[in-house]
Amino acid sequence: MKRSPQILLLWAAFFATAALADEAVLTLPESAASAITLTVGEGSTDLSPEDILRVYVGAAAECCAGQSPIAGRYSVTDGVISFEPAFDFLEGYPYTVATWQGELAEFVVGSATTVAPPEVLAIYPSGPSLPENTLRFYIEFSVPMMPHRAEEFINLVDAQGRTDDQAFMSFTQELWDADRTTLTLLMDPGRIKRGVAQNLTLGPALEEEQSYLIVVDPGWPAANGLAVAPGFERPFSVGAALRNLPSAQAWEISTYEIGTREPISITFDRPFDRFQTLSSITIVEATTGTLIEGVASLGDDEQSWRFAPSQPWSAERLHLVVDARLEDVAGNNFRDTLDHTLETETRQIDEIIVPLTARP
Amino acid sequence: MKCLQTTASAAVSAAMGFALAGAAAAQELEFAGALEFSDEGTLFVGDNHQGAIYAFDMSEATAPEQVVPVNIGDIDVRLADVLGIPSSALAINDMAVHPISADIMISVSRIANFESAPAIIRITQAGAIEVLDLSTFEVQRQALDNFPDQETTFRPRGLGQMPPLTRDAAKGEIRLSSLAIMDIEFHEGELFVSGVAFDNFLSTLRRMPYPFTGAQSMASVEMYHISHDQYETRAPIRAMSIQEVDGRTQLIAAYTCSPIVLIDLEEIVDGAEISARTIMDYGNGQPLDMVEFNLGGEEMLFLTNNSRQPHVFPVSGFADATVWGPDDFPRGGQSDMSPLMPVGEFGTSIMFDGMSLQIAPLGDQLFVSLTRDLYTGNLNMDSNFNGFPNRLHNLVAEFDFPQYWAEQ
Repeated sequence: MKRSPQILLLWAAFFATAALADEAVLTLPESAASAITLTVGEGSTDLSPEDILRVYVGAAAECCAGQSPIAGRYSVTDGVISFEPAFDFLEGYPYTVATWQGELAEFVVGSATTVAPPEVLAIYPSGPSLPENTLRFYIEFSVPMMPHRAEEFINLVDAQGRTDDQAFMSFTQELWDADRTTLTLLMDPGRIKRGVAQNLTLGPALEEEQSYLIVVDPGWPAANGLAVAPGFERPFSVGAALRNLPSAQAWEISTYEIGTREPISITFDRPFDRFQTLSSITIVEATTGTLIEGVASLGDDEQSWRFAPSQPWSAERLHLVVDARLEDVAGNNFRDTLDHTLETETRQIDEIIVPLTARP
Repeated sequence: MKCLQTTASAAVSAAMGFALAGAAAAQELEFAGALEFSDEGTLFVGDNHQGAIYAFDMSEATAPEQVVPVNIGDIDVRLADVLGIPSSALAINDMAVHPISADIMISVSRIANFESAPAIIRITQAGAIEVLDLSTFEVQRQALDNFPDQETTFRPRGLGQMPPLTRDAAKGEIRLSSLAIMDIEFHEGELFVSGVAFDNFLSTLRRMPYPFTGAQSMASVEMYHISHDQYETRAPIRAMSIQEVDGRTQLIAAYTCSPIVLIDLEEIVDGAEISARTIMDYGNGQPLDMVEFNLGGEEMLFLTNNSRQPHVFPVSGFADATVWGPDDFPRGGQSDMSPLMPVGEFGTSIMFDGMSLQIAPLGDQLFVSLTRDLYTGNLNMDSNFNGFPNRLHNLVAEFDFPQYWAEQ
């Protein structure tokens, strides 16, 4: 039977089933690990399953001269030849089934996430206005990204459209998280720290009362190279520098009610580093030090923290424990500011403990 | 037989957490790296992810009447075809030849979107390419003590003050554990494994009986590196061979940039800190494979390198070799242009058309090589006789002119 255009279209789609001969029906794989079957009906033939059905890597248009078929296991049951690949099919990559009649059927397997274009989900800190001495930005992508492209794709642009190509630190290694979806971007501290070389020659990259864009140019490929990200822009204005120590005493901390799972919330005195905050603030039982399990989240542009316990509150006395190394968005922690004179004494503390108040 | 390459694709695979995919046969093996055969046909496979040596019993084999050359163009593409991937997703890790059947085994990593799977591919004397179903062989496994973690990576370095290139930066994503099993040698019922262990004194020789008993010895190795003018304790032995030298069984080992050292086998005992004897330094470059062969009745070693022509050494040349130390040289590194280099040289650098990525003896008369062609960039499997000059016919010379033959 000749293939009709409709059937060709079906073959190009996922999960297609198409007739190859009057009594032969080819079923293409639905997922990376699933089998290909060809129903040929009962009957005798001199052909081996390998003669009847072969699977090749690559598109049908380039198939299959000089190519070896991919490795896998054949089985034949009740007139159905089944081919199970030795390795999962690559998602988003074309494969071609060739039959004994010379028919070719191309297929691609892949979840929507593998082949969907990557995108920038967010750039942190997220406030509309950031301090002049903001130290660190995080760029969060929807999928793992190709490394070593940050300098090429990320720019700081001022309100006049001028690009500052020395705003961010240039490392031999980019700072990605383990699954390579979040990139840490450091402003060059030499531009921020007053009176050091780049600060004197180039001035600070961000200036108070000005507005800027962090621009991620379109075209950054995902780690699997199958798709590229569209562009992304994050506008922000710049306010006064943060040059004093954060203070937990200035935080507004809610009370909690025993027997409920009502969250405890904190309003900070300033925006804190998004990822450090989530791992630096914990709640423990005051007498035993037992960690209270629950889910923490940030809000109000990293200026508030909320913690919902997994179990209802039961302890009379709870402590909020803050790691003294927790930094605000300008890199100041509870020991010292990022930018201070040599004479400034640093505070020798490891953590800040704040008793929490249970409501009667 | 030899060591792992660290190409860009290997860097990518090292950077990503390897997860098992595909073949149920390979359930346990997570990485197929260095390969070595015992004389009876047991295939040893280094797994740099788990820190283990696997031994697959492939002794049931039939010898061909005559070992014939195997030549396959674009071997990387052909291997990738069978694995169902584009050749850019293939990393070739090592190659060894079955001592009985002369089947050529190639260990590879099959790199998928976000994971990688190991495979051993067999190429028969007839040139058939098959993925081995490892579940069909009896297997023994020996975990290695003090194996490096899977987190620590190399510190990238660029060229002086130049900004680092992508490939320089990619070094920062290669795990130290990728060098933890570099080369495996089987000798009289024992396995010798070179690589790095997790300790400050990283370069290590491991020694264990086969069949595995769980017993293993670990010795640290340092050597004086002439061109760097320092004692080195971290860089691992890249390629090695066990030979009788001066009436003793000795390990001949090659390091990067490119000292060759001797170690008495009896020195390799648990906890030992061995000072290897540097007997030669033939200049910068990274040794790849050291294979033994017989040339006109003489035992020889053939040493390939990623940046230099192969070197051929008669084993007899190692007898009474001078041992070089820091007192034998003016202070400071010796560059390639130093009149002092190479030192301790014997043997010969020989012509080899293209660059051999992997090489192994195929029968008594041949070498099989995965050779990068200089002009096309293709990776080809070539078999050539183990006499020299080798591959000379690939060049266009006087002999290619019809007039030359007309005159004869």
